[in-house]
Amino acid sequence: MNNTLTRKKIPLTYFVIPFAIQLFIILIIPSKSFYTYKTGQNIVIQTRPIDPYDLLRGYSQTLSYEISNLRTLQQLPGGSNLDKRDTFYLTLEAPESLQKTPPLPWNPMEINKNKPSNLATNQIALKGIVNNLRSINYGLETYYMPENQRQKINQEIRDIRVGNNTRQAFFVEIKVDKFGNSIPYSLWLGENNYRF
Amino acid sequence: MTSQKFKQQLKQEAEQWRIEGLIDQKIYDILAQRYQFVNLANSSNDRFTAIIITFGCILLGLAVITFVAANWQVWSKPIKVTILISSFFISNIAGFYIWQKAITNWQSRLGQGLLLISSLILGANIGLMSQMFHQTGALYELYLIWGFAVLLMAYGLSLTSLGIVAIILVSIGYFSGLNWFSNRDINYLIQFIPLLVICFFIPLAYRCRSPWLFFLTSCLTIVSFNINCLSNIGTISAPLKGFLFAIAFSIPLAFFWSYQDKPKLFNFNITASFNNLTFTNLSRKITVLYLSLILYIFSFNWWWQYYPNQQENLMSRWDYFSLLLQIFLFTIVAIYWWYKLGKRQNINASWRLDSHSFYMGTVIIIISLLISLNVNYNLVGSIGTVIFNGLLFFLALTLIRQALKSEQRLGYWSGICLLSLQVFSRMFEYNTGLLTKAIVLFACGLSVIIAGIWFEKNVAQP
Repeated sequence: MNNTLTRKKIPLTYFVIPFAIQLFIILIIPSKSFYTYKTGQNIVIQTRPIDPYDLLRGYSQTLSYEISNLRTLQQLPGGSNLDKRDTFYLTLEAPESLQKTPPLPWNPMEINKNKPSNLATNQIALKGIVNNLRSINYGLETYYMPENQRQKINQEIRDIRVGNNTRQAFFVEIKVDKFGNSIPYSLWLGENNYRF
Repeated sequence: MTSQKFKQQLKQEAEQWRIEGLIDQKIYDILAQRYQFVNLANSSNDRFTAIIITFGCILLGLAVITFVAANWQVWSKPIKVTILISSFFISNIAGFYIWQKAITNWQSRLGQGLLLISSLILGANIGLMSQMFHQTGALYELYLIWGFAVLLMAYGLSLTSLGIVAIILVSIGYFSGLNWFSNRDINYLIQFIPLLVICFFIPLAYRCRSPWLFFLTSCLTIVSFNINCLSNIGTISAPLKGFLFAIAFSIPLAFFWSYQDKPKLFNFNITASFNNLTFTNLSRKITVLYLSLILYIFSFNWWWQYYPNQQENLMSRWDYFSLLLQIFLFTIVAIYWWYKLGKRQNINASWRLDSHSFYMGTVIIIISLLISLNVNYNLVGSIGTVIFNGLLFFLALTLIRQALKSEQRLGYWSGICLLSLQVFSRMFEYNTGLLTKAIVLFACGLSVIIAGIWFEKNVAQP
């Protein structure tokens, strides 16, 4: 068969350069989180979850923390001046016992506009930003989970809520690196620990 | 130039003639040579193959994305990353290699299909990386990053399919980034979308010689420019409010009507020549489509009677600088192009617009004046309704008249549809009695049929 293929000859560099940039983008997206994951210290904080879905990354829990409330933070030392679009460092202190199951949450101590340099060994600084809605973003607000575990986890959350034990039941274990950046690591629902 | 349809029919007829003995093999061969019958068969087969391959590739790409979203736990994270990154590598390299080394058309299509899958796998990879570390970042950011990354590859390979994927992704990113229902700040990137889109995608449309890409780019530019202007309306007071409202509609009209392509400016294409590539006509068609939409929307009486003109005192989530800069740039370019529209080849002749541009210019000025007066002071009232209906009617008639002159089917039918739509809308808007409705519907239906048959019989080209 007579085929008249109008072929475009593209120099290899026209393919390699965009390809390399695309690869770079894929790798740069998780790089900061990867650093936090590898070098960060594990701490535990209190949370209240709800569950949305996004097309690209699937099901997730949207997590809101006690320390996500601006009023809570404004009562801490150094927190009274916090306003929209401020970046700050929240100092958290370890609970008395770190060996319990489920673990005890770390306690918020004070707010600093700059990263505190003289922290005690049982303290850590967590970086946060006050957004336009006067709530706080730590980069810890989403936890993605597999589709098949979603029902089970939601049921467990409902059971705990019915049991009227919400204050103690939900924790998120996070990793915080030396710059104050953080990522969620695992979920504690009562005695059960979930890590995806 | 003979159309594909004519060639197809001629081929069938010629074969019939040969069988019946009306023409001999020699004449058939001459016809086949002259009208390239062989390519004809191939091109229709190719189109079918292309559609099937593209469809299959999109499904495969979506499968990979859905797999990532399922967050399946049987494979550990490192395994998932390895598989996704390797499939990104394999589909890209295989796609490029097959496409470039293709001997037949279907191989070329397959190569392009694999490159299309790669652009979707890129999104899956971005999603997986973000999901793996439970990143909180907004979804629209991922869409924009993904869209612009695909755009790069579309530039590199001059592939329309990748360009279209890119513009769709950027559109999704833009609309989901508007955060209609939240009080959050609007990201800078979203605020600059009209400018970014026109700067990055229009050259690509030339590079790929793709009217579709030009059309989609123009649509996104117009819509995003409108939204960006109108989203700020609630936060400012008269007379600026009316001015901004008028600008939101008039600048895109003026810009795309006077659009003049400078293919040489983008002449970095390594394969195609730009000798007769022009999107000026298409740009004018888009402007007419947009104008009819504006005239139709503002032909409703409600807007002129009840538009609230008080300031709503909303807190702006937008940055005025980005808006002003874009308005300034679009206006400057539009003014320059209008100046060039009126400049004639004879240097000594005075500056004068042709009749179409003169009509368009007048309409833009009338629209801007009336809209801004109404938004600022509620001064216009029913006169606005009458004028906009008049303009809409006049536009429909002009379309029909032009189509009759140039024997173009599209313009004729657009005019007829616009006219019918206007009559319907006014009839339902003013709540006329059922009997009147019945008569109007009957008259409209009958006249459309008669006009259509008359046009197809007497005027239209095959």
